[in-house]
Amino acid sequence: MDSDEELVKRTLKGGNHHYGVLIQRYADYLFGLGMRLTGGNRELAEDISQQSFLKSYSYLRSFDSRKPYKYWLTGIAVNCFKDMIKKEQKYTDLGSGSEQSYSPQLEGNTGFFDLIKPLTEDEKILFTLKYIYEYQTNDIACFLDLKPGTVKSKISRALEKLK
Amino acid sequence: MNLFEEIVKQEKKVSYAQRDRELFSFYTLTLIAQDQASKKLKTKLWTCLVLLILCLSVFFSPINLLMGDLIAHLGTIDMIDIFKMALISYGVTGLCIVLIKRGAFVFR
Repeated sequence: MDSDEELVKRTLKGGNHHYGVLIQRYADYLFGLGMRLTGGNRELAEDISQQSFLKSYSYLRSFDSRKPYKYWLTGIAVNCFKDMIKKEQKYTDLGSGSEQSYSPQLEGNTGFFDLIKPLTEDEKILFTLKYIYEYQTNDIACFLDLKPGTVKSKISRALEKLK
Repeated sequence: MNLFEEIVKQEKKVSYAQRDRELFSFYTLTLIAQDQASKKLKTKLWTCLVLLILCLSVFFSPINLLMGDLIAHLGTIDMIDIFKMALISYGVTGLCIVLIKRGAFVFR
């Protein structure tokens, strides 16, 4: 099996079909992350994973092969999630007062989604990455472009809220 | 904390899967190809616009006035100036050839 870095190199040389292999490799991972962050909203999770792959392709030249592709992709997905939340809030603000015509169908383990409901978006991201995906604090800081101390303090704040 | 740990443990066991991974991959690659094609088209359109502006500026420049000046001062030009002019002309021609070749590359 080809490594991610090898597939990125081949894609950059002009072989888009190699990128297809990367998509298939991480489609479920990104979809799962999206589901957890959006509280089981399948449509949003699919959008997040697709946007992440499109962005990742656009910025593939800036990918630093010394770090794992998965970390880089996770960072992109998290940013896509944040952008999506901002957009959603914008539309909600615009449409406030009017009747809501669309209610998303939620799937998955509702126990977990209820657990992280009181957290802010940033805290949800950090909590999910730390406790579900078991990433190290330094790794999270690396792919979210934060200081390890900030990650630690945000996670402990999230834990305080959940107690 | 036990309930918290239990929920996290349960969530770790859950695996989420895309509806159709092959179709998702194909569709994403199609979107990428579409984006690339639109970027290429934009580059071509910008190149055409720049070339058009260049051509128009050459055609509408006061070329007759410049030629008249050149003919009027023909007697005072010495050989070194002529060589310099020739060198500059060949340089400009060479540059044009390179640009045209690049243009051909863009339009390929």
